[in-house]
Amino acid sequence: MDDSVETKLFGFWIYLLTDLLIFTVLFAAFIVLRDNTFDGPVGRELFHVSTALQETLLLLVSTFTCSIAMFAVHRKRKTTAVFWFLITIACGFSFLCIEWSEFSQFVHKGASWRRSGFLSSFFTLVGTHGLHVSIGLLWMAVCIVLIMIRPLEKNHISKIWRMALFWHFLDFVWIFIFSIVYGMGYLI
Amino acid sequence: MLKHTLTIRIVGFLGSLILTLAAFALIFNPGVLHLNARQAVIAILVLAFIQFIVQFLCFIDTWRERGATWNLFVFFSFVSIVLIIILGSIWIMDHLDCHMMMS
Repeated sequence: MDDSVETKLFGFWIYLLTDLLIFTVLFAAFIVLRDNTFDGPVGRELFHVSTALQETLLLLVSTFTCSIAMFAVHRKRKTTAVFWFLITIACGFSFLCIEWSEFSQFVHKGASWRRSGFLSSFFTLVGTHGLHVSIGLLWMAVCIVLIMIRPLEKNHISKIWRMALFWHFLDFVWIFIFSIVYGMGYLI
Repeated sequence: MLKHTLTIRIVGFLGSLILTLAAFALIFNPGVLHLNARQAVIAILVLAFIQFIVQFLCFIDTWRERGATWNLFVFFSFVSIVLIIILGSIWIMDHLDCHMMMS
């Protein structure tokens, strides 16, 4: 690995960790405000664990297919890489659709972010993650174009790898969202 | 050499799948292991940490590369900040709750 690629990777790593701090603060806010429902709906009435399970499985499959695609990129197999990245995008997009329908269901029931501190922190935390997923999807589409029109040399592989790292990061955050928001919100 | 192998990714995927399903089994039915709700939440958080480590080791392989020491060093310092923020807010806000109750 030459120096500039290593430096860029290190810089991106720092960015991911500062992004982690944003999520940390939102997690802390959710944990603290979890019981402040202001006589509105509580997590147990609102959350469908099966929906959360679908979302989790979709993101888990997408993070796996993303790592398979990176495997193909390192072996310079363009068609295979594009194929697996497209599957990743499909999973990520269905995740967003499910999340969107979940949100609109909540708002429809009168459980919008205006209802209580619990719901504000819920929508901020999960919504911020959803925003990151949308940006990740756009970035992945750009990378697919990059794979198709440019040769897979070291510099481009590093660009694609940073995108893949971002995608893995989103799944890490989601693991804790389903444990803390859905697990904790449903059980206690 | 383990780097970039396919097998380790498939193992990581299956491992995460099992851990996810175990966590959801606990959410659906915490009584299955005779746990109360609080113990079930702790168990789910432990499963989440294990899954994070499994995915980190299996899907991200930069930590094995040369020069990754700095990445790990920064990573652990950020993790300590994360723990301070999360545990600190829980601790302080719980205390505040106690004092508000008494007044």
